[in-house]
Amino acid sequence: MIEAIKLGKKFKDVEAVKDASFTVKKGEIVGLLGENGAGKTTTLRMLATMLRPTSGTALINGHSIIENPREVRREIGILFGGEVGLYDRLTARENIEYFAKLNSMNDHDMKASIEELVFKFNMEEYIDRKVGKFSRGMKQKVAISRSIVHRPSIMLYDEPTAGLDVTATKIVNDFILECRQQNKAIIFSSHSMQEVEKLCDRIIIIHKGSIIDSGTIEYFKEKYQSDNMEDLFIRLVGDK
Amino acid sequence: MNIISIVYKKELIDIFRDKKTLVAAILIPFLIYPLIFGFMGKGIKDTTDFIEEEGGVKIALIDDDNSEIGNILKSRSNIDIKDSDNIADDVKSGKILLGIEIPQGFQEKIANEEETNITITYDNTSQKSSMALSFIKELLDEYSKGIVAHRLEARDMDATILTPIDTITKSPDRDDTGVGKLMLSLILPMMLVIFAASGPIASAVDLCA
Repeated sequence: MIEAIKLGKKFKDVEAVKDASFTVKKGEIVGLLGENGAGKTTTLRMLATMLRPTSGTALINGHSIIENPREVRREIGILFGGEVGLYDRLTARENIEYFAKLNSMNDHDMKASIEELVFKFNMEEYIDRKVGKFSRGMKQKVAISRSIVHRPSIMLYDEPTAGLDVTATKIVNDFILECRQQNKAIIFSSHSMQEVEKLCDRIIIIHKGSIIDSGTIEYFKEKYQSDNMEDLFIRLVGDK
Repeated sequence: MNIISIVYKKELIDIFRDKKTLVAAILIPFLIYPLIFGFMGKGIKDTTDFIEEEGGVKIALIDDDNSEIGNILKSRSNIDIKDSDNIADDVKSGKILLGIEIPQGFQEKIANEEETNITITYDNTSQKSSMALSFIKELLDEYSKGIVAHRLEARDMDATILTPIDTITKSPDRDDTGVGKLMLSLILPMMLVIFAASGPIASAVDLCA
């Protein structure tokens, strides 16, 4: 479970995130919806212990991101979109192993987990090839595998389908839905309304660092009397 | 395995699989540096060799007294005495390496055990001129020591009391390769330090990040 309590981050004079409070339960996908620069990535980075909050805190399965960052990191899997940050000169297996080892997995569990992932994502053909020449889709599969090799119970997705073609996007989206079936707590950041509508159980709309509203898709449609999430979003952030 | 060793191992694999890094950081330096230092050594040797050559040290000599030291200089096969109307200009232009002026009454003063001097004009921007100066100074020192020894003998004193230690220098290496090797021995430790430091920079950045 993720519990953000008045989470805030200031970069000099700029307040990137202000008093963000929300919860994400097990088996739930919560969409973090906002324009570029709204504070989505900063929020996720704080939850992932990559950034230290300037105010507030968050609990990841009961572990504080400030006091127990190491424990928190073991609980979470992170997947970013765009450049996925794999090491081109390492093979797919070496990339996945590297992150498994960083998460203190023992050799036996790591090998078993990697074999499962290779089978699951049909990576048999290229698991021992260097990542540098992979297609975006292949890289994304490796990135997904890397993010879950240590079997985290919480997943943070930051625009994971950015720049991907239809097939690769489907792989990622199917995987996110599968994570929900596995009872993981999931935060999914995006600026694509269709994706959010399709995947998320609840939505948090963030604008200029502040949460302006949150609830289910039905809640938004009813409250703002609109069936079109895109129009609704523009109306919401436009008003602010 | 702790995190540092995991990251370090990954970085090493990453670096050693990068052909550009291998060529730029290891292969090229190992091929290029010996060549550079070889050339440097040869260049330095060339600037010192002229002293040994017949007529290699071109000087202008003003010696109206026809002094003993003047005759010694004239008798050296590696010294070529040139005429000069303006010593300073000729030294500057490189026509001669040194101008040596022995004043009138020099020999007489030596004989009377009085203090005297010799003026040497050289170009401090020219390596050859500086080398020639060292060579001539050595000759003058030798001559000066000879005079002192002669004076001590005249007083029934042994000249060796002035030089209680005679230094004998030997080198196992050939003279022509010695300079290059000396340069290499000076630079190689520095290069090893640079190599050792530059390798883990990527890892260090990764670790700090």
